[in-house]
Amino acid sequence: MTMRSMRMVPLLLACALANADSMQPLDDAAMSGVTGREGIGLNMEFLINTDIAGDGSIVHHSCPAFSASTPNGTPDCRIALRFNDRDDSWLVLKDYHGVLRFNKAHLDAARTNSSPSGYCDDECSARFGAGFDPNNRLAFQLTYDHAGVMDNSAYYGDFDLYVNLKIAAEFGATGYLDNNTTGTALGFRAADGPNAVNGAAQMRFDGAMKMYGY
Amino acid sequence: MQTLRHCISTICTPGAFGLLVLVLLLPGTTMAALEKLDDSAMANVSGAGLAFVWEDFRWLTKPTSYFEQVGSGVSPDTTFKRGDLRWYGVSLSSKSLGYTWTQTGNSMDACAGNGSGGLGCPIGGPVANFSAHDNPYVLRVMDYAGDGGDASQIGNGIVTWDGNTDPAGSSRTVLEFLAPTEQPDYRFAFWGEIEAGKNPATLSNQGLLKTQTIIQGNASDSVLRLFQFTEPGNNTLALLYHSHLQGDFRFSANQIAGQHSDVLGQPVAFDQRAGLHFRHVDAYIPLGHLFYQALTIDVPRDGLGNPVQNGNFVLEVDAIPDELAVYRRHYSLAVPDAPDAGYVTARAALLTNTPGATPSVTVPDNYFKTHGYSRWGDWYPCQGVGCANPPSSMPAERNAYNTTNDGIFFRKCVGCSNFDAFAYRMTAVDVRAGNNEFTCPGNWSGCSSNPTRYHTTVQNCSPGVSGDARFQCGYGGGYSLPAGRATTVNGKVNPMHYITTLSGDAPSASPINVINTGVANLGDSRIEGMVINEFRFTSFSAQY
Repeated sequence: MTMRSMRMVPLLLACALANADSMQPLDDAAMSGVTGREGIGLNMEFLINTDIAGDGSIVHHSCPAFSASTPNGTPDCRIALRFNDRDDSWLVLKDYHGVLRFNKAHLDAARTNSSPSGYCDDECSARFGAGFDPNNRLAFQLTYDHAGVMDNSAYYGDFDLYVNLKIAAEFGATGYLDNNTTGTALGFRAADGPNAVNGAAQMRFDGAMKMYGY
Repeated sequence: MQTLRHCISTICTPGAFGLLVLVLLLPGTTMAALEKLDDSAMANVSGAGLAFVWEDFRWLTKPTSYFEQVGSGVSPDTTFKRGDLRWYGVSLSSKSLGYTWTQTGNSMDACAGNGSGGLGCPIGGPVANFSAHDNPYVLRVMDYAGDGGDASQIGNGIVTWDGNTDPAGSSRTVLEFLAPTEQPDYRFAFWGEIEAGKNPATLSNQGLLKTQTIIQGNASDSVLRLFQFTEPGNNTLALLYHSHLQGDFRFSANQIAGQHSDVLGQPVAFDQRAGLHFRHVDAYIPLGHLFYQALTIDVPRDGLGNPVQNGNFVLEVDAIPDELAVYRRHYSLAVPDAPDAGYVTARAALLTNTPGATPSVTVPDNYFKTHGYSRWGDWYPCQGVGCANPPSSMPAERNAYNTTNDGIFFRKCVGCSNFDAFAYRMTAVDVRAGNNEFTCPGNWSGCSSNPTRYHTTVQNCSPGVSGDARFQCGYGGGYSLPAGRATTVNGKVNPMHYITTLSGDAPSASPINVINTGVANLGDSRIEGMVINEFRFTSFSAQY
């Protein structure tokens, strides 16, 4: 698959490290006591073709219109995909704007349950292979900070997602540059509020996700 | 608090956005080193795959937040209007009694009741073992190859597009994402909005419909695979998806008074009972097979293979190639050639999956990998050819006409009046258990000759010659039936006593042949032996 990106995409990655404020040197003895049990807290924000205004609203970067003086336009805010053995055509994601935020994500180590869940059948065991024991295994764990959030709280602050794009095919060797298709084969948006007035869609993830290898 | 700022000037891969998601969802391997790994902890780690465990898991999207399919212009030669579709508050939770889409203050509103089979509430609590630690979602890379050159074996395993089943020569590498093989049932729900005729400039529209969809079940055994397609000259990205969904489904539109709204984007609470239900659904749809068929992406092409440059794209399951080994693999079941051979294979597939039935033909396991099915209702008890004890007399009941525990049914909302179901018709059959009466249209000799049946008496009508009297017998003109209605024989009860809104054994005022009920169960239904030889989805709107 060939991939072209048409714009310098600013990316802001903000990682807030919990426990990082003291900045005191650790000697070997202190280091030997670190187990990682308290894990890492993260806030992360990823912006593509957007800015966040002072009031928190999402501002699209300008995606210049195509004109007679720039027949191939000044392609902007797009990602063009070309698949193998599809050399004459491109699938172009146009007017592509996005915001992705993780709020108060916690990463740490954990162990899987020490006893069987009762959900593993023969087919499941066969995936792991003979002799593998999924119980009490070390795993990475992702959780969100839900301190004080009740089960029925209308809280959706863990994860924000804003996506705005439309999809159309363009043709020829420079199809990734073109805007010969004026309509949209498929348009997609993830947002909040009527006509996206409230910006990004907001989500909540309860519980823990663990990952281990086998 | 220290903040790291990292500016990346150019995104080079389409996966960058997702990669950053992955960084947080799949924390780096060095994290684990914070706890000492000894030899025993490392034992059995083969590097074959990654396992994802979700415990006490619940995913809630804010009820005002949505995923949207944005419409576009439509052909000026049609009466269609632009339609924008939104899926609000997409959530995954447990089956417990829970909450609605609306909220009071900072709390979600409690759900009024659990409806039919627990399909009343859209939002429940966390799912304890959404994917258990010992039956997790798995992401891995695998090599798959054919089972050998025994092309004469019906249903022989993996085969390439050009018919190669050699264990070495047909081997291909696959990236696959596997759902757990067993999962508890959970609840997946959203409320939807169809905005018809939207004007993007003024943001006005010509109509809004709000609906709710609730699914309770699971998608265990579903499989997604990515590989390079094996057709010469078409070695493009190939996706294979085997969708396996099991559970119950409800689709409704009735809103609860006081928690209702017709305002764009405004969450509402839906009635906990109303709507179209599907119970005991089991649906398997195989889109693609290793390695001769797959979902691929293309653009529309003319007969010469040149692209039709209207901006649309194609998502297709490629046609199976004309190769013997592929045919044997794909069809997987052969019966002696006969005019009814197609029925024999279909019936064998159906009976293999009907409790209590004995198929006369053994169906190989691979048949049920290459053939899909969709079952609505439990299809119980077994009836007809192949069943142990097919009922020989009435009642031969599967679902009662108003049952809510199985099959396909419509149900009224809480506090609503019963509705007239099963249409207006000349003949009415009382379908309730233990009843076998039916009305006769009058001119069927079988009615009057059968003394055990209720039948009707003379009925005539002649239209007038002018004015409204011309239609006094209905728009079909006059009629003269040798037998009319409302006479019973041998003490049989007039079924209209049960099935009309009127009472009495001999209703005097134009009873209608319907069943007045709060639930109308249509019964069970199923599709078996669904084989996909070719399937193509082509977008249409890019040229407008």
